[in-house]
Amino acid sequence: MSDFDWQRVRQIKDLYRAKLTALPFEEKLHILERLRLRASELRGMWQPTSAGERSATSNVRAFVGSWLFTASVPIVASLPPVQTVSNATRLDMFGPSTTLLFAADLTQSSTLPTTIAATKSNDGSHP
Amino acid sequence: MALQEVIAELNRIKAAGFISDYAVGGAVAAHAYIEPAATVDVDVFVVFGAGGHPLSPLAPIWADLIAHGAKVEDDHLVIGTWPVQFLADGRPLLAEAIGSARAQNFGDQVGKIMGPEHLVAIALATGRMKDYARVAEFIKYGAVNLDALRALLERFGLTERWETFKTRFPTGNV
Repeated sequence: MSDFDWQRVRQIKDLYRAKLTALPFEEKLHILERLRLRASELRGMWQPTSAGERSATSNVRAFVGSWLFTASVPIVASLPPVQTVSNATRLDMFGPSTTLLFAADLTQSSTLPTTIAATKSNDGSHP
Repeated sequence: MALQEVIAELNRIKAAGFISDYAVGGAVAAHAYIEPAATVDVDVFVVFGAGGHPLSPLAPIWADLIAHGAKVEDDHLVIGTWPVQFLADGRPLLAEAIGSARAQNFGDQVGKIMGPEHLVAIALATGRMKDYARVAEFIKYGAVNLDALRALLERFGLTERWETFKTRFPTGNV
């Protein structure tokens, strides 16, 4: 058991959030603008393909999909180790709720997957 | 401040008759009442003006905004630096939310944002996890009049959603 004071941490965070909530509208607007810019910068890593993929919840599937679809052989070669499941290659790299499924034609000599599908199980946080 | 560019354009298309009314909803409106949270776009709920295209009422609005410098990005229009999503649903709850929206200064522009009770009701109707979390914030910070909210929810058949919310987000005696 840790003797870390979680109650104290919660109090500090609640106090901070209460102060944010109480800020004047104009100041909150500036915060909102900065938050949006930061989110845009983070999303600059990839090119969204639809508005839905630009949601604040950052659709991991879209990120992975666009990354892989634009990937060339060296990128594929640099992917983390994968598990082979029958004729498909399963890659768990984005947490329990996200799974990449490579329907790779492993019988071919090429290392490039012939088709790539990204699937994401619904853990309730992304309805 | 980039958001005031959006408000200026909304006021302009309203004055030009493309829309008869509008209100900002979603996270941008919510931050007037609760802690600011990251969002990527502005949700604008609109009521169309008379004489609009019956099948594609947003088309002339988009054309006009593009002619004034907005850029198309997927199903958003980017005004200034903000992606804007126009929502024209026509449901009574949204119509009332727009009609009862309050004036709010955005820099030198006066825009309209939805009131807290309507934002909560719409969040409950939308029913995603992040919407419920937002409702919890409204309640936690006392940003909503609970009596007015209950009456609103009853009027629009959302009482069951409210009960579902309370089971998922225990918020005390609400």
